[in-house]
Amino acid sequence: MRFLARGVALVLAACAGPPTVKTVSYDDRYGEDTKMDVYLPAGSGTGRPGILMIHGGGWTVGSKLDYQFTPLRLADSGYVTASINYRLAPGGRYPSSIQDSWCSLSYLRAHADEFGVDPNRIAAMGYSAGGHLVSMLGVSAEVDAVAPNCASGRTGPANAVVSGAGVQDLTDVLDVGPTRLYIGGGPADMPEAYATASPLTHVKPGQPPFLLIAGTQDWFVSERHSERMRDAQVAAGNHAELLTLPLGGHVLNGTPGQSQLSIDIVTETPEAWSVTVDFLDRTIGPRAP
Amino acid sequence: MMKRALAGLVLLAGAAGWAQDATQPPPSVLSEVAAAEEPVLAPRYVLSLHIMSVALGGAALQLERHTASRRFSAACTLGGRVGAGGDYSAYELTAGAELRWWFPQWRLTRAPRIPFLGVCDIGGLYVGARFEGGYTRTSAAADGRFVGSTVTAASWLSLGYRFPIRCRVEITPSISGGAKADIDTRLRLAVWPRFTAAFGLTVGVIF
Repeated sequence: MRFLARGVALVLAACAGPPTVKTVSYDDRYGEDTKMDVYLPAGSGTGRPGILMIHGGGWTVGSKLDYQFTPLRLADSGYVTASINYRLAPGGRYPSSIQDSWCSLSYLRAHADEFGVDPNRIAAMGYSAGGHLVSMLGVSAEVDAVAPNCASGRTGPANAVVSGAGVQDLTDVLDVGPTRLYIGGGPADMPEAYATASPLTHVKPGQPPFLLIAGTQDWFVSERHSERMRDAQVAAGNHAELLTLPLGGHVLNGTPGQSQLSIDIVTETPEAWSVTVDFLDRTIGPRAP
Repeated sequence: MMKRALAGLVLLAGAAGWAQDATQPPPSVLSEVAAAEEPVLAPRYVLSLHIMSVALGGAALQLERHTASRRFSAACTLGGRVGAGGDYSAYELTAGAELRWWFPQWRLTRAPRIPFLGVCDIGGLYVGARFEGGYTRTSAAADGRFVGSTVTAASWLSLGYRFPIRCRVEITPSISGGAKADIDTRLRLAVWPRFTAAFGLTVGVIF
């Protein structure tokens, strides 16, 4: 009966129409590079939980449009969801993408009323390089080297972090090409930059809850990154959870029936979705009715 | 014996046709000759294991039955796996069905051309329409707390090629494109339909 009631509620929500998408600039200085799409759930509402989504692409490629279906699903489910562009290497080398991520979060909070989002209930969710950037939104709020210099200014950490195949230690990446391009040199040449750009460096008590999702056969970003981050956060007394997907790759995963390998990322598998929404409910709270 | 006699008759009919126009044998006669060259073999069933399912920590078995003409077949798949690690555990149960249309003219084993493969009526190129459903239940590993479950429905168009070896063993790689939708059973998330592409591989026995 409860299932039926929820089903009816879902159908009614679907009848309310698709989410509205607003494209805004969170930093006027860099044009298209610093725009974000905000997916607003249908109907009017305030104080909704929010999700800031950051795409991957080795800090060198990709755009906010990489995340289209996921924000639509999240917005359809009651989350105010923003998917951002950020400056890419080589033009937008470290720390610009981290600064841009901070600027987008502070902009979202500064315009919370406009978007109907609760500024204290915003999770950051990203994949691969985006997983690195959202992790930085959880741990580097007080790190001056990556502090934003945009009009919306500094802000506190994201209220929860969901990092999929996120790079947590930049010195431990198999394909060092994009990392070199992003940082501007190799680890031996710029050890300080590599350390500062690595989320693991900044773990300390009092940081927001983390959900780390990784595939066990990810050849680009080893599951080691997620394991080490979970262990470091727990050791610091923070809340962190790890979901690993057997044989999950960076872009290939099992299909229903597991009879085939399909082009999917680990955060889009059924178990990852279940864990993610459960984690969000327990951290940034349930969606508004 | 009867079948051989019929094949002989077909050959004779073909020879008669050729006698009428030796330079331009009608295509229908050619196909009859080719058909006559083909042995009529008994196996109609194939029991296969989806290799990817094993690699993914489970098993998916497929039973397939061919029609008498071997032009069509129907396959059903049942599978399960234990998924998720770290602080979570999950299992998935799945079922699927596929209808396949085979192209015998693309079958390497139509005639004894490749000694290693032998001759077999089953195999070759096919296109298929597959429907799959899955149920995934996820729990917290520490205390078994129910985290969520998802029903997944998928439909695929597939293109594959079966290599039968001596009409006993088969290897079938395939590629598929299709749509799938995830439905959160607690309805916390909107239904999520999307397009995707996939690669499959089965190994099985023919009987």
